[in-house]
Amino acid sequence: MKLIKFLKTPGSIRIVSGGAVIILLLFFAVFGDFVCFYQSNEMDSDWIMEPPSSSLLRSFLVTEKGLKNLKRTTTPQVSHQGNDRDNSLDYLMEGLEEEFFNDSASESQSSISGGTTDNQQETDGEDEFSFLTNKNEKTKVPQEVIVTHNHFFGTDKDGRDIFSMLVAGAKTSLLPGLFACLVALGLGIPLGLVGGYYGGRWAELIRFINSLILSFPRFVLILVVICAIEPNVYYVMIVLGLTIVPRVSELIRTRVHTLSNMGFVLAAKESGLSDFKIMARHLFWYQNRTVFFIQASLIMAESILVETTLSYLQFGVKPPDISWGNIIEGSRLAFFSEYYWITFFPAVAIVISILGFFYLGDGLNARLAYRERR
Amino acid sequence: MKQKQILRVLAKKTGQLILSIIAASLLVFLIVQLTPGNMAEIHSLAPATIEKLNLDKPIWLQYIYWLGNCLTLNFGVSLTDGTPVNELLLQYAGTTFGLTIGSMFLSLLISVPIAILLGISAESKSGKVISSIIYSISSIPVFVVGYIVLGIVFGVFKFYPLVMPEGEFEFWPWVTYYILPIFVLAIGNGTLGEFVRVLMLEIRHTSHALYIKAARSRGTSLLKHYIRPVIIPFLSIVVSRFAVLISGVIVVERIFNRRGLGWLTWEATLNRDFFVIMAVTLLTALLIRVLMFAQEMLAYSLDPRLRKG
Repeated sequence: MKLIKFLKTPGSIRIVSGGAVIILLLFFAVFGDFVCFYQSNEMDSDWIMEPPSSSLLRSFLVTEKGLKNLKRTTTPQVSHQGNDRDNSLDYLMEGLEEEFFNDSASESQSSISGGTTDNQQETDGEDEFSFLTNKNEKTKVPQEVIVTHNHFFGTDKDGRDIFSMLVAGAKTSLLPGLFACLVALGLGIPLGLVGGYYGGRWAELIRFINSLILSFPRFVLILVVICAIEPNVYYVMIVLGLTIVPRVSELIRTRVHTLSNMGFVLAAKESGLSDFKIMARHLFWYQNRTVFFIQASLIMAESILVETTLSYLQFGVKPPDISWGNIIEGSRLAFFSEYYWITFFPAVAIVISILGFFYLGDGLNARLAYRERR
Repeated sequence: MKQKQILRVLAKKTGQLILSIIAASLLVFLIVQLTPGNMAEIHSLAPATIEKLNLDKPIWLQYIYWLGNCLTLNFGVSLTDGTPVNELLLQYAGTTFGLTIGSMFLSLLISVPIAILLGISAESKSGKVISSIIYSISSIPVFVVGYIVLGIVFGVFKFYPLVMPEGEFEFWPWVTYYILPIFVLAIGNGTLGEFVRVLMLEIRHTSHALYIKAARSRGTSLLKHYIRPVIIPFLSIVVSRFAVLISGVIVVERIFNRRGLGWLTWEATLNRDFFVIMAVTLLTALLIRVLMFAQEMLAYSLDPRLRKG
């Protein structure tokens, strides 16, 4: 009964769908090591650039036949044309990189990513784009392939399992986000409370600080800090938190400002409560705690966005560690080839988790507005 | 009387503008001073260069020299190859300018008609679905949108839209080379969703107002009554989105391999080229402050309530 009542309020669908995605994400981040068949840094040289498939899944789908197949191929097989495929993508990467990114940046970039760009394959006057336009005859997989691996989402050019890389990426995306929340809310809420409760000089000062922060584009400020100190996700998250402080403090300030002349605040003052207690308990916890959760959810979404984007720009999580942005950066040219799964699944993971947090915050916001209107 | 008041507000706002720009420059300078070691050690500069760049002076003097030089449009030299920074800025500014203005224009072009349609029509399920779809699409990170769009273009037209088209004019290569980054920046980055949302809510909010009801019952044109209350909050959103757009430019220029200010910033960060990044940051902060100032003055002249007190 209560559930039906809840589902009828505005924003409930967004809350449920966003919450489900976040619970799934948290599950993978916490229990990821028990779920995966492979380690995220384990290079499986037998299965390089394998398309997504799984013997486990197959045995469920094809029952008896699948089980027979499994039994028949328990001895490890050497993968078919694994080498050819590997070289073709490497060549594709290197060729395009030389073509379009030939400058000092590309050199330092390849040294950072530590990718193997050694390549002995000769082009023999082939058209450079033949890999992209014509499907290579050699790479055609024979019709009857017996699968003996559990790479649900396929493997990349080093034979690493995409699925376990995604699970490892969930951890590296969520932890810094919590840090950004801590900075943004830990500074923004006290500033907003003080500005709204005392008003006057305090409000002026806080407004000046806010406008100073707002006059820098977020990424430019982050890049300055990275340039000055060193590329590190946690510095990035501190700066991100600081750039969110104006929004949070302004929101809290306007809400507290309207509340601070109300009867319950005056009553609390008369009964001898200290200003700190009034602000922390009555103005923040009793009146504004929903704002706290809404903002925390939105900040998590923004932090995933910033973390993946910066990892893509090579200033966030560095290659031995895995982040979703990192995977896409490392094999970004797979978007133009038949090896879609290397970049497709990380992109989906990024989009789903960002939308999950956005929807949760949005739904909570709609619910809050609805309850306050009543 | 009125003139005097306007002048007083103008003077006050200009004072705030100058003060905040000085504060911004101080902030940038202090962040760069946080670097472990110093610039001369990192780039192993020659003593003559150190003297020329005033790096041997105490910090407060360095700041004054730097700010003074910036006022005369001398932003120092690139520490990697010694090119003056203003030459670099001039060389790269065109691309970025085109990208920023173009994508802002395009996202306004897409979002304004949709928002007006959604705002005027009654609240309905389909309207909600449309606005949430737009909001979801625009909250996808720019680099994901960029690669998806590039992949689709490659799949359909069989060419790689990152190469500058040369020689004979062919429609698709030329159009995709110049339009795609603008399109990606306009779609992604959250700008589109934010515009639709804010404008829709403002229009809906305004149409509940009593003066609209009165105008409707008088039978006069409604447009005039809608424009002022809607355009003031919308302009402030447009100005605040410029900052976000500049963030997006860094990513888009990297995806599409364009040499613009975003690329310059990226490369400067990689090479720890302090003077370049200080100049870029200071100039973007200046640009955004000036835009905010213009928006505030415009709101002041449009909204009589602000003028009163």
